[in-house]
Amino acid sequence: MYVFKRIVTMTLMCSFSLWASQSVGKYQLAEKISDEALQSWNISVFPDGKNLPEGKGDYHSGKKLYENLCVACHGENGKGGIKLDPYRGAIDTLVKRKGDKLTGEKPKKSIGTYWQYAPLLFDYIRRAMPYQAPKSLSNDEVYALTAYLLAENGIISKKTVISKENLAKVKMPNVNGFICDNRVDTKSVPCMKNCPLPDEKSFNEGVLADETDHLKSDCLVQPNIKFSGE
Amino acid sequence: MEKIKRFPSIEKTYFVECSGNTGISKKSPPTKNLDDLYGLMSCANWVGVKLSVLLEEAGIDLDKARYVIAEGADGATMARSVPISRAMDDCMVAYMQNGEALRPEQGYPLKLIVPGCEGNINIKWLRRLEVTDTPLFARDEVSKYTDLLGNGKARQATLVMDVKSVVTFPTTGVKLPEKGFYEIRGLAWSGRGKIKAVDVSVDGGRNWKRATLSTDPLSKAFVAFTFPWHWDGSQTVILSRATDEAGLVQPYFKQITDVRGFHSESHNNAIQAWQINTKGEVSNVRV
Repeated sequence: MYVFKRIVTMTLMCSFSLWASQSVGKYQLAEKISDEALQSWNISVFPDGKNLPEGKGDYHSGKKLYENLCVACHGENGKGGIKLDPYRGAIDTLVKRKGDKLTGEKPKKSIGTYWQYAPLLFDYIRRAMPYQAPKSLSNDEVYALTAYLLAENGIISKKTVISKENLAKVKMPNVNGFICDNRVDTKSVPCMKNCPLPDEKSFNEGVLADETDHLKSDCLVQPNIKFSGE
Repeated sequence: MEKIKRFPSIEKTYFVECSGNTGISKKSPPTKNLDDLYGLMSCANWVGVKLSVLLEEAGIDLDKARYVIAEGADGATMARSVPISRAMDDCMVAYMQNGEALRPEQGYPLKLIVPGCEGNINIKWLRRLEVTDTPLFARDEVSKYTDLLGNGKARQATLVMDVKSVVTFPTTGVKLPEKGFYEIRGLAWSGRGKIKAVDVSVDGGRNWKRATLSTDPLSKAFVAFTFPWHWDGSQTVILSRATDEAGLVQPYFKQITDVRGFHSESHNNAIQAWQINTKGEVSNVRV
């Protein structure tokens, strides 16, 4: 996968002395940023593992970190979760519990049942966790927590050492669980007089899902990734 | 920032609505009032630079570019993948809201506006834009902001906020003092363009009449509507139903849940019903 190096440097809020003074573009207002200066900003990790840093971690080192830094909000072994506000239930568990699935009366989203790509764990933990001190972890620590959560979800073995060499090859159970937005999915026939109500038999609610809808351009197109064992 | 403000500017009015506004709940009737149900939205005047101007200035290669990953400077460095079609169309990088610099809680100094699309993708405290040929599949476009359907599959990148309206008077918390004339008032909006019409029913959805739009509707912005009503003092239910220029009409809640089930959480644009009892008290009911 090729990711363009071009970045709209004008939108960066801080100015770096490393920035080249050379101006580019129609208005001569953009400045080129050096690869070196860009590096600390460039934290996006893609589904195919692009931009994963050096480092490694495993279940056991991750477990120690988890029990110090994460357990208060996410519960023991990633199977709990605090309530954030009175209107909602507890936050989703990180780890799939026995019998958890996405269908039925009470679907259960977790990393094991719902998350699409393994490198996303690294990307998100590095961006956002722990909640009280995001970006305080080393890359090794982020790898370790990633390995811990994948292993607790039964996706990798507790012996697997996770690094940029193998993380993107880990196949998530729900990798093919997402579809493009296929709204419009409700009929649009505005009745004005003597209209049937939704609970009446004569109500024509008609199901309509148009796969050719123009919203397809919003779709997140899945990359082709060769997972382990495929 | 000084240089951002030197680019040619645009001034636009757009709504921003969280996809979780009026979240889908199985509880019938829902117990929440107007503020709880509809509070996660706003409509403002924005001044800023077209995103396409910035991307072209940076030398974007449109043959290869497919997404623009927008990233905020919040604690979580939240990121979303904006499709290139929207990035090069009407997206803007705003630095003013309603005639003043963005307030800190609104994303100072820069906020990305993706008109008509769910609030979450309108990245606040914008710190970086990355042009790519693949999406990021960020946490907030996988684990969150995806809509789980009854069959266990989830819709992803459901960006557009569909046509919607709500009566804001009379509503919960209001008590009509006596029978007689009242003006029903409300708001309508659509992420697919302008509002074409709003219909109001004062008999629980059996009969509908066209409301008056208070101003010429703008694309992807709130428009107010009014409807004259003589209340005879009996118990009734009032509803509003908007149609947008794409031809889409607001559905009933049942139409939505029959297709999507009860666990898609967001993007509920169903017709809202308020019941008025013989004392003039208003409550939230589901029709």
